[in-house]
Amino acid sequence: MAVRAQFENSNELGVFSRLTNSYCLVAIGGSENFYSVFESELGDVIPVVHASIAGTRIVGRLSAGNRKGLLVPSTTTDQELQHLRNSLPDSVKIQRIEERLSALGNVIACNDYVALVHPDIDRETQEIIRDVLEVEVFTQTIAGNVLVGSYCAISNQGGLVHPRTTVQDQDELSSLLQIPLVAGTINRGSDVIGAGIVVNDWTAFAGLDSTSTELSVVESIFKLHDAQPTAIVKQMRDSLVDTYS
Amino acid sequence: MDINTILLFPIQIFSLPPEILSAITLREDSTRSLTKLISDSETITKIKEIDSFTEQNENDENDLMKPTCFVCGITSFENVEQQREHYKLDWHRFNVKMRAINLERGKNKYNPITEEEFEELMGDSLSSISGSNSDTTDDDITMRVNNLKIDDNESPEKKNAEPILWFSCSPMTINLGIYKNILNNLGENAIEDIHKLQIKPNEKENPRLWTMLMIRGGHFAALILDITANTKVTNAKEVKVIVHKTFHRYTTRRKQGGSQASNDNTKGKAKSAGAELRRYNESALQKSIRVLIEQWKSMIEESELIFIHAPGNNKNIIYNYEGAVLKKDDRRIRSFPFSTKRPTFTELRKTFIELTRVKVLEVKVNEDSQEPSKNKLTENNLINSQIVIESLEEIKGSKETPIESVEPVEPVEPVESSNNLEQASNKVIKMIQLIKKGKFDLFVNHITKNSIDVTELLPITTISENDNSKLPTLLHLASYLGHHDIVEYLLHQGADPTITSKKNVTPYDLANDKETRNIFRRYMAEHMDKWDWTIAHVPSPLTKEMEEEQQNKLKEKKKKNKEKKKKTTINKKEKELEGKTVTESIEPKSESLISASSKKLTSNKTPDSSSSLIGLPPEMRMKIERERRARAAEARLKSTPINLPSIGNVVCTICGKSLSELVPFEVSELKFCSVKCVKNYRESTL
Repeated sequence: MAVRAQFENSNELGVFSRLTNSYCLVAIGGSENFYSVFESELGDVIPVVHASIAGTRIVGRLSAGNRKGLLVPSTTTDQELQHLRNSLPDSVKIQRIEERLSALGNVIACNDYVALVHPDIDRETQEIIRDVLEVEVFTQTIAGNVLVGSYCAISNQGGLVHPRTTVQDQDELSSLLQIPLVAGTINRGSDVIGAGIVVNDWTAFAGLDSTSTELSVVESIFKLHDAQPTAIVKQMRDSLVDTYS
Repeated sequence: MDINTILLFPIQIFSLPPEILSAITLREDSTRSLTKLISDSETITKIKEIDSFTEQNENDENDLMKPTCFVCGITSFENVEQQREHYKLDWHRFNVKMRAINLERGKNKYNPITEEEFEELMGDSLSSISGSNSDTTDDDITMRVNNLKIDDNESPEKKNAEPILWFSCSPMTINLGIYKNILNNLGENAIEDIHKLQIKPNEKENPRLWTMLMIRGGHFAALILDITANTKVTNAKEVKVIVHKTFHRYTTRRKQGGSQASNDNTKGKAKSAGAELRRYNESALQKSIRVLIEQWKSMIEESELIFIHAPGNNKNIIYNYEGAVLKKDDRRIRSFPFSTKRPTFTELRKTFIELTRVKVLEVKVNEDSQEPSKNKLTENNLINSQIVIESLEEIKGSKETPIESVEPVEPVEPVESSNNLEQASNKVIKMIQLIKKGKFDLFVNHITKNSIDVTELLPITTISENDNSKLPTLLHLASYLGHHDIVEYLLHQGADPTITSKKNVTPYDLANDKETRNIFRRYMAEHMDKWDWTIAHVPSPLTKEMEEEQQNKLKEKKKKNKEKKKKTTINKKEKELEGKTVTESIEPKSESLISASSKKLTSNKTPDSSSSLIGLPPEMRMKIERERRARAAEARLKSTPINLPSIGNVVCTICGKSLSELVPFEVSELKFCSVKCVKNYRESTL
């Protein structure tokens, strides 16, 4: 299911939260509304952690991560890092990165298997990304934009990319990432996909402004329709029944 | 028609005489500059082919998609693994970076470089790429990218520095110069373009428009004219325009310079009233210009060429806004290929005249030699003298041999062998250049590569007369310039140190520094019998033992010096210590009054003493101060009534002057040299 939410009157959820398959970071807000939306959706499955990075609330833009790890910029304080260590599952590796491009969320787009990165990112950083997140790292742009993290949202199921991405580029990217991609918008026409939506393999949170069309695209490309615990039964039912009949 | 009659009047590009038009050909040296351009356009067509190919591919095999990388221009990988491998290559990263940079600059098309080109670009450092030394690679790529950036910043016109294309008219002895910017593709198919530019008398019904536009420093001038109405104008005032408009607003920061917007961008918004005013004026100017362009839209769109001069931020006024009439990548847009003055209506008309006038160079062919380099250009009175001078320089520059000091000299040999000689002399010239720059490795490389005999005399042609008489061999040259590594190499290669110049000067005589001379002497020690060293003017051999001895001597000298210094410092320290102990032992004994007076004394003393010490070296100063302190201590000792008789040398209490030859003034058992000192003492005690 895709859920609409808002962070203190801002529709750019992706700025204030980071969602992966094994944890979710949310910014410390004035009210708990934002947090409770995530908590109600994810509470029993993965930890939802209040966090700040480098004293700011833009945790989504500053961090990058997936099921296996979390990358934070060098500006993160020791206290914040300790808090994250304490709150996240032990299986998640946390790494602070010394990189000129400190808004990691803007320059890295990743799922559990692949990552797209900004062409200017250091080779050393690329190696850290590969080791910590256990992904293959590719240098690419999205519709000519170097900020790959801002202009796309990808999960293991699929990805939503900048609306101006050419069909050629989409094909190329989808063969590279081995997931279906679709070009689209979020938040009633915003092209900064990464800021407008956070997504993992079974849930998505989009800005309150998102239209139902946009949400239906999101649900279909990220395969959220039947991403419930029962889904597996439904999916396999035919084959099971076929086998045992 | 006779040349002279042609040249009587200024020629305009629109109405070239038919004789010229039929005979005109592009001069060869101008075509060379074009090759780069043409190759560029070739790659563009290649890319287009690739594009069309991919489109075909898509159409053909929609169901069988092959992985691709459009950034690098690769249309089909065998499988995804290959594609993924490719994405990790430096080559791919480089292309992605370059494309991003191009997009930033507003160029949509990026011609990816091929793998071979990339390898070439990376050169020797390629080996380090795949290795673990990743830092250097990164630096390298960014460096290369930056280099390329710089290259790209230069517009094509700049790349082929000459803004004018020169044409020759074979039967006539004139060259014609036409600005590239009024031709299509900057001079590709130039002749064709010139033919197109001709205006026939019957064509005059259909207007052919040119738009000209200048913005700079708050001044704006624009005009649209019909070139068919201006075929014969020679004077700026005669230019007939369809519409024209000029604006001026106060936008530039007086005295500081620069526009308000650029200042705001760099330093933050200034709050002064003037800044507000300029900011308002800038936006007002922008608005009025955009409105004007919008009004002229239909004419601008019909225009054949659009000349725009809008340096820096001014570009933002005319491009890149919603509903902009002019697009940056419009092929009709040209710059003014020469510097212009403040944008005014007259300036625009003047530039039009300048743009359209054909430059004429008269070429006189020298009968004796067929070489074009011997051509002499004479100034034509019709042409701007500046242009002639420039082009003269250009022509001269292209013919000149690369070395600076060398001037073109008449070949001594007959014409048949001149070619060989030229080649050989080129090599020698390069060699000389390398020596001059002191590039040892390159020099050695050059010599081994071209197997040049270093023992040979330098040919006369390579060096102007003066130099040759002074420096007849390479050894002379190297020794003169003090490149001892080269001297050493030459000597070991068997260069003769006994060869003398006309004034009987050997290489050794020319050596300016000791190191170079030592090299000769060292070589002499090793090869006593090889040359007659007396002729070479080398006085004595320098063997290794001698050198060692010398070094040892030096070392000993240094050691001695050090010891001496140590001794003196130790002595000084001892003295100082003595003085201190004396004062310390005395002070507790002295009475309060006396201590007070002595304090005053020192305080009185210090200012003039320090002033007299200024300008002395620190060691001397220390010495003097130490003496003074000792003297003060003595004075204090004397001043104490108990010790008075025991001290022989009596000094004035105030100024410390010896009283041995004076009759001292006494006040309460203290002694003074003069009334002045007594007075001072009185004042200090009061």
